[in-house]
Amino acid sequence: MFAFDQDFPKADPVPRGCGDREPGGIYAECGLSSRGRPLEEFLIDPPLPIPPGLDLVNKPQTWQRQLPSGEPALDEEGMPIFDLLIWVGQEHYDYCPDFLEEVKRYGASRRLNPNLDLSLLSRSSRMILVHPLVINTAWQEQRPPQSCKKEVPGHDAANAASEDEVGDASNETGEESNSRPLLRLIGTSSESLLPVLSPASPRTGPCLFKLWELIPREAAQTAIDILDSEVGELPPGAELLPLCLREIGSTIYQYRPTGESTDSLVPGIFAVLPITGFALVRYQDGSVNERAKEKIVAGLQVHGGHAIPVYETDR
Amino acid sequence: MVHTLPSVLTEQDEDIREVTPANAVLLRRLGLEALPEHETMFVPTERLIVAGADQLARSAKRLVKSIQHVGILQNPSVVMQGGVDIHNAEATYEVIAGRRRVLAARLAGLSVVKCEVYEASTVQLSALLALIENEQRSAAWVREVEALRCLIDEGVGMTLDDLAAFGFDRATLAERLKIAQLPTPLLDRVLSGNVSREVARKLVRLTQAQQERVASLALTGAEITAESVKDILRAQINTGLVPVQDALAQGWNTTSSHLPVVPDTSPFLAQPQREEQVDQAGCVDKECMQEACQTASTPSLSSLLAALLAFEHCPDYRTSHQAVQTLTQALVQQLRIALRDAPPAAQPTVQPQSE
Repeated sequence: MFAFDQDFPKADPVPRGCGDREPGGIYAECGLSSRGRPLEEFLIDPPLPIPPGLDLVNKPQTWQRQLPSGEPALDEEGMPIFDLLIWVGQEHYDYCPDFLEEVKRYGASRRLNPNLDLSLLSRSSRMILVHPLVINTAWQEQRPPQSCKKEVPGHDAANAASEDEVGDASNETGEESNSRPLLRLIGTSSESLLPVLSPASPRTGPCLFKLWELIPREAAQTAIDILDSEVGELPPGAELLPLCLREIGSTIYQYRPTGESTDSLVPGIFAVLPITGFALVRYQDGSVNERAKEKIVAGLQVHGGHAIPVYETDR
Repeated sequence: MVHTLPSVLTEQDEDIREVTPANAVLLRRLGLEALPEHETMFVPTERLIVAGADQLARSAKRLVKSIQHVGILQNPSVVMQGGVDIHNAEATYEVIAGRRRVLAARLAGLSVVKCEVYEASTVQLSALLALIENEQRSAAWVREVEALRCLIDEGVGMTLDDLAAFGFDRATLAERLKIAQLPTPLLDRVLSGNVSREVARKLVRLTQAQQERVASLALTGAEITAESVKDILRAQINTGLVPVQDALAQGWNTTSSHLPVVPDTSPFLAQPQREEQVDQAGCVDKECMQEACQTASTPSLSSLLAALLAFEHCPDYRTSHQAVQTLTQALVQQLRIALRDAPPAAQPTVQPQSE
């Protein structure tokens, strides 16, 4: 009954931090695409505070987008744009990186309340994501992150240092920025594992990417201590950090905990993702949630070719 | 300061003997002039019959802690069900009002409960008591707010933890406490019953400045409606979302006709093919593994990925330490991301070992 070309990006239906998708569920997805851009471009760094009064905990809701002028934002069809405000709960994703690492690998899939008016959403809509432990209020007292993948000036030691210093560092590795962390991971370099910040460096923050370093060692399923002999001589002030592996759902990712406190983390908005489609997960009898489907079909009539595509799936 | 808690923590336990004007109307409608005579007695818990105990068990558990701390503050109402008179040792009683309290008392280990005992019940009496209980339950939040305000005004140093220790829901208490701290003109409206719970809940979500603004309106006699508070709240949240809206307006072209831009998935598409190749090559022997590892010695992410995938298919992998397996899986996932994110021109290719 749907007129969509089914060839649109979909999230992988793998077991996730929040478990398997449930029969009858309606999910907003951000799938992975060969025409896409890296996830980092969709992250908000530094993360933004939740507007006061927004009651979001476990209550996904639609929100009409406004222009900075206060006027309603309109899409190319002249229709008002509604976004989805979504709480990524700590009960399933203890740490914000749990969720982001999962999205990197399998795309995003967030369950929606079928009572939401899904017909309001169009291809211009976005998922605005919030996690309870995102804004690091103690960033000025803590060490800068090893790297800020958005390369926000002043966020990490490299970005806070002079341009000359940055240039030298790049020449030393001779690698693309994306592969640098990996080479560090496999321990071929004797470079400092923790940046040493010059007191004179202008710092900005808080950096979203510090969150990886704040995950406690105890949260790892596997922790590997790197021996001095394995990395060679460390520069003065450098610290050898354990390599920790954390498993969440189908995701296994690595982090290097600094042992700094997470007590200073407060809720914040950390990402704005496109909605590439809706997934209607079938019940055992092959049917789907009709109430949700009706609203999506209503959205089709309202938004036409600008409507969000939908598909039915068994998982 | 425990003595002040009863008024704070009594959620639904009003003494039903008090006939308020509203209850008097109910009485008259039910054809009753007054509540029937009754006696206050200690009744053994095993002689109390609680209808629907299974449905109430969960909510009754929440009262156990407070009963252990301060006992039952308002007597349940019961009516004699079996026996010749209420003083008969064989008499049993059905609980009409306060079923949760009785269940919680049992869970708390109390052997007797002080009850208001009615000798005989009528349909009207049961209905009346049930109605009064429901009415009191729906208005209880206002009394809680009032009591919390008293604690604040008297400077009682209690924390939410202290209050929660009595077994009451922390989120509910936190909400009541916020309501109790509303500016006086708004709190007065709450306490006088002129503001619904729904509106009060929205009021506490306003910033202090916005609350003061609404309070000023209240002082002028303006009606505080759900709609007006909702509008103010919406405007407040929109203001807070401006940085996100800015990012959306500047960062991404919202009117693009293209599919939303999302991370590149080409390595995912290529992955099954690579694994297939590994399987076809029968990569379970060490020779193949060594070959793959030799390939990995070149500075190439894809060759490293191939080596790790090959390793995952080797018998050595299955017998290796769990940490090695986990590290391998983590590296495979990370390599796929790294390959995906690398610009096409920069994607390394597998180079032959000898040229």
